[in-house]
Amino acid sequence: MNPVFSIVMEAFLFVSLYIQVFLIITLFEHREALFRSKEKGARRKEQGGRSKEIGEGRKEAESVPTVSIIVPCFNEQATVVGTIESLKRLRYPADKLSILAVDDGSTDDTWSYLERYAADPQVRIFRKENGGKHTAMNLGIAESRSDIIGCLDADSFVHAEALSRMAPLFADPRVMAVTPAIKVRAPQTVLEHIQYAEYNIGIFLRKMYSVFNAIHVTPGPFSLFRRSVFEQVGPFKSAYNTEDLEMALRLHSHNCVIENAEHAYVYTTPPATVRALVKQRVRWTTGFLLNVRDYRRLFFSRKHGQIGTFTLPAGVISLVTVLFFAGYAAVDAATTTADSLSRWYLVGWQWHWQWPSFQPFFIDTTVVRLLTFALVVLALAFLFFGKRMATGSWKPSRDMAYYTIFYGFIAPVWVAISWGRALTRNVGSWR
Amino acid sequence: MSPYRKYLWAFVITALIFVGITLVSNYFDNQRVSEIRSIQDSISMNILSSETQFDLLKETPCDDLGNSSLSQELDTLGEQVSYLESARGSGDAQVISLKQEYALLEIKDFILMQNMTEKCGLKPVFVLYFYSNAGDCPDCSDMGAVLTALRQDYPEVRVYSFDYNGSVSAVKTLESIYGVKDRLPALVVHNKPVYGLKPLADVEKLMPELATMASSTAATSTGNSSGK
Repeated sequence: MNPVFSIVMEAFLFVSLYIQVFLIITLFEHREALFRSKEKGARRKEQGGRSKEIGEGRKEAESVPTVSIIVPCFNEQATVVGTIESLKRLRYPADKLSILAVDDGSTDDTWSYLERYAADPQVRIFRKENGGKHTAMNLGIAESRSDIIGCLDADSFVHAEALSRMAPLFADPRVMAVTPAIKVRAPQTVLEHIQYAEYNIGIFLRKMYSVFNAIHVTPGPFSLFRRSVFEQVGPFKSAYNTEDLEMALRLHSHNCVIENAEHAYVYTTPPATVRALVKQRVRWTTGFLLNVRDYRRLFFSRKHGQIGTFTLPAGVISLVTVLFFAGYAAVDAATTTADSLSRWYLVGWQWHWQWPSFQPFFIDTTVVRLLTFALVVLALAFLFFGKRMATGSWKPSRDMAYYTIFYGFIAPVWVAISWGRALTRNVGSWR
Repeated sequence: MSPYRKYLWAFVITALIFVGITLVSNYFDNQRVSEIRSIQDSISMNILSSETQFDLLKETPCDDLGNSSLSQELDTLGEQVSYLESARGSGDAQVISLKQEYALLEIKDFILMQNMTEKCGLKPVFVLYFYSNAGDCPDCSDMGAVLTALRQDYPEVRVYSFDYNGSVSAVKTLESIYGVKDRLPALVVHNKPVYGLKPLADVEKLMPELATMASSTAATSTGNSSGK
C-alpha cells in the first residue's frame, strides 16, 4: 500500500476511534443508563429520580402540563387511525391532552378517516392545501394553546407511558424539547430487522448526546417542545425536507436544552424495501449536510456547547469516512475482479480445491487492519448497548447479526448519493 | 467530568490504543522476519549439507542425496518473503535483505540441481523468472500467477524467481550469462530468454517435455523435484 494512502487511512481510523472512545467515556460516566432499562412495568425513577410519572396522584395532576400532539398527515389512510388511537391510549390525564390531526392535502381517503373523530372532544381535525410537513406542523402550533406541543408522524405509534415519561423533563425550565426512544415496530423482514438494530443503536447514541446537550435532531416521531420556544425561535421551516433536524439545530443556536427520555418508547414503521429505505436516508443525510452547512457557525463555537464541538463534526467526519472506505472497498473489489478475469484468460479455469489452511504467518496484522478490528469491536459493543437500552436484555439476536452483515453494504449507497446531492444542492423530493 | 477534560481524556486513550496497536503490529512483523530467517538458515544448512555430500561422495547413489523436500520449503519461503514485501513495501530494509538471501539460496539450489541432473540423469525443467516490483512491470503480477498455476499442474518444474532490480551481484551474473534484457517479465527456459506476458498454454509449449510428465492430478507428492 502506498505509504501516504496508508497514513490517510490511519488518520481516518484514528478519528473514528476517537469518536467511539469519547462516547464510551460518556457511557462510563452515565453507566446507570444501561442498568435501569425496562420496557415492561412502570418505572418510577427513570429520569434519575427527578420526577414521578405524571397522573399518579391528584397533587401532581394539578401541575401536569397541558399537551397538544400534532399529527401531520399526507396520504396516511392506512396508518393514521392506529396512530391517533395509540395517542388516545396514552396514560395521561385526558383533559390535559389534545390531539390535532392535520390533513396536508392528502389525495387518498385520509380525510374521511379523520372525520371519524369529528365528534371526539380530545381530537381536533384540520384540512389544508398541501404545503409540506412543516406547514402542517405550523398550523397545529398556531391552533394550540397547550404548554407542550408534540408531533407524531402518522406512521408511528406511542407506548402508553411515553408521554408520562417525557413531560416531567420539562420541570427543568431550561429544557425546551424532549426526544423519545424510537424503535422499529414488530420487525418481520431482514430489512426491518436491520433497521430495528440500527434504531436501537440510535437510542443509545441519543441518550449519550443528551448527556452533554448535543442532540442534533428532534425526530418527527414524538418529539415534544415547550410551546413558548416557537415564539422565541420561530416556526418550522422546510429545511431541505428535514424540518426536525433544522429545528434541533435552531434550538441549539439559541442555546436551548434538548433532553432525551430513553424509556419513552415510540414505534415507527420502517421503509419496507431497500429502494424506499435508501430514498428516506438520502433525504435525511442530504438534509443533515445542507442544514449543517447553514448552521456552520455552530462548529467549534464555545458559546453553543458540544453540538458544535462533538455531534456535528463527528457526523460530518463519519460521512466522509464512510465515503472514503466504501470508495476504497469498491476500487479494491473492482481490481480483484479485473485481476481474476485476466488470470482466467491467462491460466484458464483452475480448480485446485484445498481446505483453507490456517497459517499464523499470513494473518494481516498491519496497523490499519488492527485499528479496523478495534473499531469493529467497539461498534459491536454499541450494538449491545443499544439492545440493552431498548429491551433490557444483553442477549444477542438475529437483528444484530443482520445489521452486522448487511448494513455496511447498504449505508454507503445513501451516503454517496447524499454527498452528491448536497454538493449539487439537489434536495430531491420527500417521497 | 468537564467536557473539555473529556475531549483530552478521549484523545489520550485513543492515542494509547493507537500506540499499543502499532507496537503489536511491529511485534508480529518482527516475528515474521525471524521466522523467515530461521527458515532461510535451515534451507541454507540443507543446501550446504547436500553440496558437501555431493562433493565428498562423487559416487554416492543419487537416492541418498535426499533434498526432496527442499523445493517445497523454498516455495513456502518465497511466498512468505513476497507477503512481507507487499505488507512492508519493497523499500523496507528488512525486506531487501531477506530478498537478497532468498535470491542467493535460489541460485545455490539451482546450481545443485543442475549438478545432480547431470550426475543422476534426471530431467527436471528449470525456469528462471525475472520480474520487477518497481512499478515498471504491469504484467509481472499476472506472469507470477501463470507460473504458480504451472507449478501446481507440474510439480516437477522448478521455478526460480529473481527481482531484476535487486542488488544481488550473483543475480546480475545470471542475467548476463543468459543475456536477459530489461524487458520484463522475462523467463529463461532451456537456457534461452523469452520476454513478455504469456498465457499458461504458451508457457507449456516452451517445454515440450511437460507432455511426458504427470500433471498434478496424478502426482502424489508436490515439490519432489527429482522427477524419477
